[in-house]
Amino acid sequence: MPVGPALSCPKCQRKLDAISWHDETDGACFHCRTDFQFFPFPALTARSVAAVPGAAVPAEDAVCFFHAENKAEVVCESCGRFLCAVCAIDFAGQKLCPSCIATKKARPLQEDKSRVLYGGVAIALAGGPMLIWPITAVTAPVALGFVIYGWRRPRSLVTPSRARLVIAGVLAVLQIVGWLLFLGFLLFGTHKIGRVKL
Amino acid sequence: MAQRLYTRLTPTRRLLGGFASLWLGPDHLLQVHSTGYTESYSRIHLREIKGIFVTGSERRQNIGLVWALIGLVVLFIVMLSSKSVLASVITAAILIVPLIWNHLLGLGCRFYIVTGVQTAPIEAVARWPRARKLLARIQPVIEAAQADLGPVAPPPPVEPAATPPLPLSEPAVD
Repeated sequence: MPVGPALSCPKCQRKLDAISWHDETDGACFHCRTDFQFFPFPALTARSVAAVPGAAVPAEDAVCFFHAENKAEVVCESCGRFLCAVCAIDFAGQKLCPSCIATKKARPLQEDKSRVLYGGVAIALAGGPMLIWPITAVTAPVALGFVIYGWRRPRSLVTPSRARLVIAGVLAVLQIVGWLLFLGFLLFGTHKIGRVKL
Repeated sequence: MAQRLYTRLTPTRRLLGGFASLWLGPDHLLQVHSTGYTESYSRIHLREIKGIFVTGSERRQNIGLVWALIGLVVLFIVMLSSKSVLASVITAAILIVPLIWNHLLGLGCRFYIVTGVQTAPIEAVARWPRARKLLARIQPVIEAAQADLGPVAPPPPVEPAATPPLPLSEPAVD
């Protein structure tokens, strides 16, 4: 019985070892009857080659840091340890040892799993509360704090501009200046007006 | 100015509680989920992509049905509250725009990328025309990244077995 590559139905997650293929790309899952189109790539049928370490010749070869019996073939690009074929792992375009990957020492910033968008937070704090303006006395300085803190922090990977931080900063500064003028008017303006009246 | 590593592949799609988009990096696809305050990233390396599944969905029909129901309710209220035919016609004209827009966006679909360890749904794609555009864009890139792995071998079509398999222990009969 012919067996196709180990695929799972995207809907019911069952193994599609028995797909009803209509043609080269169109098929249906036997279990949930979901019709689908499948576009294969060479990795589907490519076989991965297991790394085979070379045996080290005592007193001649450098040996792997983790396996004293294996010949060192690569140097870790992060910590410089000698590594055998088993321990050298291709990671983000570098040859690294397992411990460097585990401790994330070699992980570049581009490999982050998530990021805080300080621009988004600041603009929400500076723009949103304008509808209920009295609370801007609190939110504007906080927004300005986020702008200052977030200025040098890693930004979005895909839209790394500081436009939101700039807009939030301008809004926050305008609100703070507005509040200072208002307070100044309350403290000195009425007194002055009172004196003029007197 | 910060250097942009990623090229946009899909427009940002609104989801419940966030946004999703797909980007092309130097050697991987980057799926971004954003709340507006945080972004989370999932990377799919081009060399690890085994295939792409696209299945149909009832999205267009469902959205059309919801819009039609809302439209009928609003139209009914307008007709009850106002005797003017013009008001009803204007309301109907306004309400039909989203229906036409929904129809023009095309049939609904779900897009999945298959790797050795997962079948990742790509939430930024929900309509067939956009899925086709995305496929046309990323297929050559993925094939170029996997050029050293050999030609594309489509999965062999599975025909129903015509005869039961012979038991291995039995001797061959001449």
